[in-house]
Amino acid sequence: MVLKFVREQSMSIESILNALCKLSTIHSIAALSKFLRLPLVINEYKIIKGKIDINEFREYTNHELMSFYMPISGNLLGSAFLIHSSDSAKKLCDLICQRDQHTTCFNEDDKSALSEVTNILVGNFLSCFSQTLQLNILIHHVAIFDRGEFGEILSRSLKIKRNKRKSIIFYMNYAYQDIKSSLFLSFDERQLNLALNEVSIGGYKEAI
Amino acid sequence: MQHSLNLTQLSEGFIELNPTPIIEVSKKNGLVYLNLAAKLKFPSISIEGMEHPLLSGLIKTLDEVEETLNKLVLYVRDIEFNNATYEQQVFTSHGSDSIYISISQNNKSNELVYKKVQSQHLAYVNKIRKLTNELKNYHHAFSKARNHHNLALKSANAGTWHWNLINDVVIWDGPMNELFGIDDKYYISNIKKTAQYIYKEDVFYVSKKILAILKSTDSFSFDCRILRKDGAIRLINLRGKAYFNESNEPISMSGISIDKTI
Repeated sequence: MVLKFVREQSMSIESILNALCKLSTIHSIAALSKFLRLPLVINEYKIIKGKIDINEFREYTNHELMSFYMPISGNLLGSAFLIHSSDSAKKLCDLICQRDQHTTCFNEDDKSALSEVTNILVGNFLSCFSQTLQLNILIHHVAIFDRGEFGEILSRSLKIKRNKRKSIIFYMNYAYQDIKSSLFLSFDERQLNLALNEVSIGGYKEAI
Repeated sequence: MQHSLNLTQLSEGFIELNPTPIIEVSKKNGLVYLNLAAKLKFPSISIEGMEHPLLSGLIKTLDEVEETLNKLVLYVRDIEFNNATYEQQVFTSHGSDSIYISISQNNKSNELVYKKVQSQHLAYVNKIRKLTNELKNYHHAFSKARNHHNLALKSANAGTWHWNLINDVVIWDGPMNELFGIDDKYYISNIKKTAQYIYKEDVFYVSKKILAILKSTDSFSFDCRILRKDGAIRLINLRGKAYFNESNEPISMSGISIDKTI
């Protein structure tokens, strides 16, 4: 006779998403803090379903922005992009490259430094994400540099997106003094829901 | 029903039992709380307080962060203490007096492996740099020598040639190309196409000469007329030697051509 035990508590999809967002954000910001050797403020983290409303991000309108876009592949298809205002990106480059003088224009070293920041944030976010959802593979690819206004960057990044299915977007914003940046991670909603359903059932089965 | 007790799971609800050293600090009053693991691992913290190497400079660093009420501040740093490296995760928020610190030790064996790999990597990078520099120097020296070589030949209205008899490949250098009015930097072809540059009436004579040369190890020198690509006829002197293998079969010819046209 086989006796099955199912854990009584089960988490709703919403609460898992929120917990996942918080945990992965903390994990990625912690890694960046260690890299920069600076304390970082987590201004905001949230989940956006469907489309990104440009009006919600007024701080980025009317500014020239730098962005790094990277596709994500593996058990879950998605993409990530990190945006900084031009001024913020220059100050971040000063910090990383330990320059006394202020960066005025972006050379290959600066782009490389900012690309590394993107790698650290996205890599650590995905690492925590995949471990929590027990996904075997989540790979982020080489970052593609872009420059322009928020709306332009968004539409170009969305054009690169590999399919037109609905997405769930994880958003985080961090700052150190006047250096601020935002990270958007978008995943295919259907695939993510499948993975979340597996986790939310939870429990364990024990045979006697 | 029996459940196996997992100490880590159990200790999550009880900071006192957590095997990770946990410290709580007040921004105003300094050290507030140490869990059991922290007391055992770092006994001197209780005495030294905020002057302890694990805590010194922390509040000053956190004060540099811009005030944003109720926002979580996260700071991760490596601290070296007693010949070990510890990773410190610091959590606080603006508007709150408390700073929560957890400390984990970087795995020493991993660190040693990492350092070994890192130093090997560095050694390879340095080796590659050295080889690249040497290659650059050789390339520079080769370019210089080639330029001198070409200048000397041009000054003498001469060019060099080589004919590989096994593969039937004829190679001319730059000055030789100039002699024949060819624009390319190097000429690589076979003997049949090369023979087109010999003046029609001298073809039979040159063929006889070559057949004789291929039977002798002596150097040769003879004149013949050539037809340049632009249609001009020039008189050149061909000098060189044939080379043979162990079975006395000719394998190649090399030499120079000098423009004798007045």
